[in-house]
Amino acid sequence: MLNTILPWLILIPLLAGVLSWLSGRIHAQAPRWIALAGMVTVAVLLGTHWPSTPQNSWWGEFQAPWIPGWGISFHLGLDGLSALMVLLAALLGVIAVLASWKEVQSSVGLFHLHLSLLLAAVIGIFLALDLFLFFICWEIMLLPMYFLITLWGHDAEGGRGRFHAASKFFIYGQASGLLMLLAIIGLAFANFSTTRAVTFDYTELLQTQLDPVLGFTLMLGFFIAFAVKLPAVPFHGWLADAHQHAPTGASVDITGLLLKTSAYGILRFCLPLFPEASQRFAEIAMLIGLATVIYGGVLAFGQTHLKRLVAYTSISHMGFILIGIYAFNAVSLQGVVVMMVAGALSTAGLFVLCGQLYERLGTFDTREMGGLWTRLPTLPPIALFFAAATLGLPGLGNFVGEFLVLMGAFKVAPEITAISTVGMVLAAVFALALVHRTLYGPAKSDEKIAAPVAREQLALFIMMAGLLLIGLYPQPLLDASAGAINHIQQAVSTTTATAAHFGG
Amino acid sequence: MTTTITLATLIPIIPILVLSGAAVLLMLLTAFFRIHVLALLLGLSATLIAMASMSLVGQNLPAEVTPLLVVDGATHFYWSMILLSTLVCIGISYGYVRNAPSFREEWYLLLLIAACGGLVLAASSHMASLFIGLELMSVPLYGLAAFSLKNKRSLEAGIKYLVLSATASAFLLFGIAMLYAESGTLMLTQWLDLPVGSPLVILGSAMILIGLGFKLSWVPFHTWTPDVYQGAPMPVTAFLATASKVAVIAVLVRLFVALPVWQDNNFVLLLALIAGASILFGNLLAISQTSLKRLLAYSSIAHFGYLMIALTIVAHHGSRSVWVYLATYVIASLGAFAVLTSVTALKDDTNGDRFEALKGLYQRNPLLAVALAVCLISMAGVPLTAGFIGKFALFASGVATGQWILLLLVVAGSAIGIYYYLRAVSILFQPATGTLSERVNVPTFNGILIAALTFLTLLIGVWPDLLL
Repeated sequence: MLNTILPWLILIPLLAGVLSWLSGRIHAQAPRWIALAGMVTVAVLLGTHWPSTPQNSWWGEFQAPWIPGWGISFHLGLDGLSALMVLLAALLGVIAVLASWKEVQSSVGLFHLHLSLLLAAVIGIFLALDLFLFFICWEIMLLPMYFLITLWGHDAEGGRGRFHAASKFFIYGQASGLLMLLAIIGLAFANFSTTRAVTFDYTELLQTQLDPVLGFTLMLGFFIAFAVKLPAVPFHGWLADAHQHAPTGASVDITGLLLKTSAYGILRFCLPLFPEASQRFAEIAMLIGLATVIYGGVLAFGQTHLKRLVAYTSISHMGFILIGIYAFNAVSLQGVVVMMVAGALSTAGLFVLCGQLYERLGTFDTREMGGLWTRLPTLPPIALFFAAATLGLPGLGNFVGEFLVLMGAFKVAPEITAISTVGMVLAAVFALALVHRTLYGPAKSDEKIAAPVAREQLALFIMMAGLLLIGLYPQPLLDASAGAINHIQQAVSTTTATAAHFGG
Repeated sequence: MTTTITLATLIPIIPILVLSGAAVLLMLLTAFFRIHVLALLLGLSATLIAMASMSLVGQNLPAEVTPLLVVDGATHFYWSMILLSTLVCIGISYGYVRNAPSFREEWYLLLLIAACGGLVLAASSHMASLFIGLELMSVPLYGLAAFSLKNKRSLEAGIKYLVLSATASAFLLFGIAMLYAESGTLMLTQWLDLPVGSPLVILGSAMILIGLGFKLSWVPFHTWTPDVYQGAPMPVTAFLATASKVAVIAVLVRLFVALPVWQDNNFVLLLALIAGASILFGNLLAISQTSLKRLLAYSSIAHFGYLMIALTIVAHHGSRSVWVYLATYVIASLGAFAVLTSVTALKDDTNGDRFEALKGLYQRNPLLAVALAVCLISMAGVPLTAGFIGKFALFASGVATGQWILLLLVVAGSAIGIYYYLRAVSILFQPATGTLSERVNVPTFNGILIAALTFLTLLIGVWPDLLL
């Protein structure tokens, strides 16, 4: 049953995108509804096929021949991890459409085509079990995002403009992506030299025997591509600029989807394909994660541009995710999954709020805000909620994730984990600073600001409900991902055992 | 050695015969009536017949037609590419030539002769046919590049191409003479056992490389490219960028197989340096261009730099990657030039290729804008377009032979390439301003060609098995 719906998870947003593009000529609002319908359908389709008892192995697989000459097939697979990610993608797709309802008024059809293409590519990444297919989705994802920023973005004052920001985004992505392509081809050749069969299939490449130097080099090729998208220090240069110039819908998708594809990529590809190399690299990766946590936190505090501030907080979050991944134990890996989902929701929520404030105030500058609590109904308490979620308040989703990551990582690397808790303090500092600068203090004017309409509230309430649910009852989420996480964890830890065995 | 020529031996070279026959016919026709449409139709139908005869050629592979020409699988591929390019170049000419004050019919005559030269060059297995083919292809192009006699840029392009091309030919001839002095033969197949260490051989083959490298505009022989691309009429630029380069690549592949000295380590290092310089210069100089023609000129320098990765290994690993890359490049380039011709044909040719003239093309003609966007994105090598498949083939052969440094240069080059290609693409979708906001109308035949090329670009990208 599940097998046959897998290609539809990619096709539906694709079709919805094309339809909404064409429908733009018939009615100005039609593209929004069609794109929305496409994303809801994906969520519903997956939700209705959700297994009642999550199994350990693949929930479903789909394979069709594609380029037999190069050993490439259209191979999709769904397990707990990817199912959660696809669901998250569809949800954030809905949020992105809702958030752009008023903001985007020019070329509405084209905008939703790009938004839907982006979603299709991201879902493709989460489902692909063929490295060629995975790479194609990985690269294709950049293209709609580039156009979302250049064609519908904001030209910030004093900045170098949205074209510059979008190019930066694309060049970072393309250069690192091609490095990964080299690594993918290198891996396929290494496999070819032992088995004499050309294949790009994930399950077959898992068996590849690599000598240590080659394995480490190839692993680096993958890691750099993922680290750029994560983004980890020192590859983070594109993120704040991209967010600053992106329209709200695109910002939601950047933090909610693009960044999560990289964490997913490390979990799905980097660790299982190169277990030995990953083991050797773990300490460096955790140090990079640590640097990212602290650097992101410190920079976030210094920002006066609302979206840049939120962008840096998401960098800080991703640092925790990196530490959690490279701790290689089941607890921390579970924490990573929770953090990915909760982090996506809380940061996306903040970006939606940024967009709503911008629509009302016409600025992202926090110095121009202040005292909004007295001027604006409904939004300030919601902003407080998301700020609390970001700083990791118990009872909300992020706390569960951070707690599990720190607990798991502490067993492996107590020093790094201990230092990284500074990041949590920083999170509290920047989240409170955000609230303080915008909501409290003397009001800049007495003029009242329009209350959010039902559509705006709906988008925010969906995310708030998600965060509360994960915070209070994370078990279903943990159950769903447990099987996949165990697989990954075993792939890495068996190597440790053998390595220790041979070493001893 | 005597060779008797029967009708059967001529079957493999039917395309050459058709094109040269059409050229003679057109010449005679022009002497009596000057009818533009008739010349166009003759040119088109000759090219189409030649293309149709390719299937007949394909049944008799491989065949040697006198010691001068060899028609094998490789020739078949290059011929198809050259004929496709010729068809498109003739097809998009109508709107442009219609506005020319005089000599309209000669335009098609020269194009047919140039195409014929390209076919001879691509099939040559002997230095005599190589040289004849090269000159037969180049000489008409001097005239074509300078076709707009009133336009200073066009004249400059013609003269520049003439002078530099002649210099390159001199190098080529000198090189051939040196190898002849050493081996006593002009047959390519008999050069296999030339002594690798002999100074005469090294110098001679280096000079041949210079002569041919000029046509491919490898750095440092690239200086003519942007000016000639920009000054020449759009369909001629398209021919220079596609058919002419395909024919030269065909010869180079044969030389790489035939000349053991080109496998020598020092020579490979030299080739790698040329490739690296081409990739860097081409891409870096393309960034600051404000004319799409110049941009495509510089980017073509980079593209042929990339191609070197697959070119240096043809002797041992076959030329499949070269073909895949070349085919994807040719199709995307033809598509881009076809769109540009349609946009600028009706106006003065000097400024039509500037970015400002392309602003808002999406509003003026959405389909044209999308087609140009697809072609440019394909050249940038983004997945699901043909260009990515070419790049993938290149990467695969580079990884197989461990050319890591060149591969990293290609990665860097592609990252730069993305910047300028996408800048051009996003200009198409910006709002149109001022006088340039009327709708762009495309002649039907142009439209069909553009649609077919764009569709092919996407089809190969999604279904690369077609090409393999």
